Amino acid sequence: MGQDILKVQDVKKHFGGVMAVDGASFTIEEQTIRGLIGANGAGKTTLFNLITGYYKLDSGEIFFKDERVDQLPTFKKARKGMVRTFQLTKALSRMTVLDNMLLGPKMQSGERIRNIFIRPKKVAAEEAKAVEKAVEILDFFDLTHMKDDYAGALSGGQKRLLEMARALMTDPKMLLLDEPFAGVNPTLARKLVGRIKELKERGMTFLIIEHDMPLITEVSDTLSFMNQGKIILEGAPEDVKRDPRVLDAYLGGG
Amino acid sequence: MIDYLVAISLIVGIYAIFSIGLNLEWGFTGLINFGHVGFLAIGAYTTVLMNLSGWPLWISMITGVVLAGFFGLLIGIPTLRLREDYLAIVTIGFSEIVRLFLLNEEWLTRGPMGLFGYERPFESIVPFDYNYFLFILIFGSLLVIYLLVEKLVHSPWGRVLKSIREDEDVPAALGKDVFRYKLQALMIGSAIAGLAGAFLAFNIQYINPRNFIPMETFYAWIIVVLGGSARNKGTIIGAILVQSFYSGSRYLQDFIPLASHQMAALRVIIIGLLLVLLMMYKPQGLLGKKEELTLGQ
Amino acid sequence: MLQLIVNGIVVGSIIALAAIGLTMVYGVLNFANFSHADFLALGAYIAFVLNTVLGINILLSFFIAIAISGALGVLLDFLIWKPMRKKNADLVSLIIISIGLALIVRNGIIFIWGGSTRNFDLPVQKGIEMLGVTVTHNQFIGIGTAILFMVLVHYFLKRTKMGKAMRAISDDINLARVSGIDVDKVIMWMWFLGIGLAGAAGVLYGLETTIRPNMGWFLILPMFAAVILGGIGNPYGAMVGGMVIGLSQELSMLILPSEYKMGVSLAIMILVLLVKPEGLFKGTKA
Repeated sequence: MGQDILKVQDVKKHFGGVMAVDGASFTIEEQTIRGLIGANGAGKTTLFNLITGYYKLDSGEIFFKDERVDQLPTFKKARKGMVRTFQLTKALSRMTVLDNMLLGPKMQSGERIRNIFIRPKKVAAEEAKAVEKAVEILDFFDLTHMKDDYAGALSGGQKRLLEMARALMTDPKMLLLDEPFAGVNPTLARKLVGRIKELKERGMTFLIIEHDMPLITEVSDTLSFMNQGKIILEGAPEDVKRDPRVLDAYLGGG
Repeated sequence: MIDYLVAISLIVGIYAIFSIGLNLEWGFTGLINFGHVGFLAIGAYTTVLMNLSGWPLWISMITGVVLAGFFGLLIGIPTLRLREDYLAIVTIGFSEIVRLFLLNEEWLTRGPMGLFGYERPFESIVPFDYNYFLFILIFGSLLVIYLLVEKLVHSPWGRVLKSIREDEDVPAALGKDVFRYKLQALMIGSAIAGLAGAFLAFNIQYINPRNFIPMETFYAWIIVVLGGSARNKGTIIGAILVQSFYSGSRYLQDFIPLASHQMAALRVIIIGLLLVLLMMYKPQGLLGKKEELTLGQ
Repeated sequence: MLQLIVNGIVVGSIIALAAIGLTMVYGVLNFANFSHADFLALGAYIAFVLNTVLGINILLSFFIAIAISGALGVLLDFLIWKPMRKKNADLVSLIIISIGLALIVRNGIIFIWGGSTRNFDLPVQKGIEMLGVTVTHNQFIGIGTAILFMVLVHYFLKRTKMGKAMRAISDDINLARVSGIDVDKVIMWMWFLGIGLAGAAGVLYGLETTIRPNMGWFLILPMFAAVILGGIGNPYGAMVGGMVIGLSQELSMLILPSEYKMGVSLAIMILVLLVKPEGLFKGTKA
């Protein structure tokens, strides 16, 4: 029984008159892969946004590694190790793929003006190491050949991969992936699943929103099913996906 | 003829420095600063006022630059968390308040009568035409600033700025304190504008509030946009081009049957038109790379 | 002090009228149109030409000026704003274009009419004195007309099909498009209305003070302040905001030198942006 890395308690958020998230609660254990499923409009991305601080909660609490974090701005959560990717890819189109990657590492000394002038060697050394790491990660995602191209030139699926690769550069403790497999070809998707599991073994925790049932079932340890702003069901993927409520949401109206 | 060219180059140099400051804020970080001239004014007036009160010139200049940067901080704190268009509106307000202050607080600034009689660097020592010395001073400074800014911009710090310009959600999601970077960019850009202000004061030897109207900010904007935002080389070329246009049109004025106020208005109309056309059809300016600066995504 | 309140209402109603167009464009097209103020000035100059050069009476000049201003708004939508929409241009490009446009209009005015102040060809009328306050004839007309127009705008937005379509677009442009509204056409009408009202405000302002090329520029900050105070995209908010700003500016003269009036709008605006950026009333987006 590992430690709980993320605890979401009774979180609520409304927009206009609509309750997008209506008292959602769940807990994720360290070193596990949690899949978050639900029909469109169920509130999944909103929940993501609330957890990462992109939106402000109306009420509720969020704990990351037993520390209360819901009032913190996004960047502070990211520094603590909670990093997310976006549903509408935000690959920085007008920067190169490599530059996108080099943005990742936390606390680079070169990011402080002072160090640029008084510690140039240290900055250069860190930069070189970062480039190495970037190339290694890009290699896995089959993106190395595009490293000097503008990110805007990548295909939709490639941009998704870049986002995830970039997030990995931060050495996150927990990665929140919003539809990471959308537009990715099946072979690479398989490889991704393998890599995600590998990273899990190395200590990372994942929360993944995904619509592709076979994929999410394969990659997740546990599935959480969300409907109308609440987490209604949780359990082993094989069980959850057969639950009539889930089938209803995906095959019925939804 | 040479003297004439040197005199014009001084203006080019001052505008180039002024615009590089803006380029750092807008071209690299994406901040819409429509109040840049306010910092020019702070640099100029601080330098002059302190010197007229007896302070050594170098201290006055440095104070001017630092104070300009400090006002960048003051303005930035309440506004940089706002949406970019709010920043635009508020910064225009800021520069206008500065100008109104300079105009009305006559006890301090002599209002519309302006200030003169202040020292210029090494004026008594320079044996040749002082303008030549100013040329060396201004272009020397331009070179130094250019190199410094280029170094900053091609560093990891600069990389974060660019990511902020592109989409500030991304650096935030990666753990960067976006607000802090914006503030730093604004402060440095404002300090650079302050330096340009001091040089302006030295060049024209008589400053008054009319030197610091919003139009000056927009001259910097056209220079930056023309040269290709985020390209400092382009900014310098932009400054040369805009000044050439200015001087060239002055020269042509003798041949065109328009009153001088009409020529002045026509010049600005052309600049406005240029701004519109550039943003519509060639937003990357003359030197910018197309992929780096096309509209939308 | 009562005099200040009267002056405040006069200025306020002019700002309010001009701010309606500004807020609608801001709400629907999502950008701050910095040229809006200069169309206020242009409207005044057009009426001036009609009135003094062509000898048309002031009332007719007023309406013709509004029509011409509105038409200009439509023309610019066709030439500039619509193509930029098609290109999916970002916010910043639009703002910079609007600055370029502002420079063109303002200096176009100087080019044609020079920089000195002008006045309409009107007989000098005595003002009315009541409660120790003087309200000039022109001020009365100014307030009355502005209020009349605001009522007309209200009627337009609430009762006419086009007005309702405008409100729909303001709320949710995609939803409106999907419900079958010809968005481009409605936007065209919005420009007509917005710039037309700016022109109207300009004439009234020219009546109240004088006509000069910078007259719009004096009001750009108060107008934005009114828009932000009232909630971007909300025409009623803009009307209320305009009045509040106008009154605040005038009343500020009790404690500040009159030259700093603009600072009052700026201060109010910053306050609103820090405390309640969505404005007092419900706007479109924050």
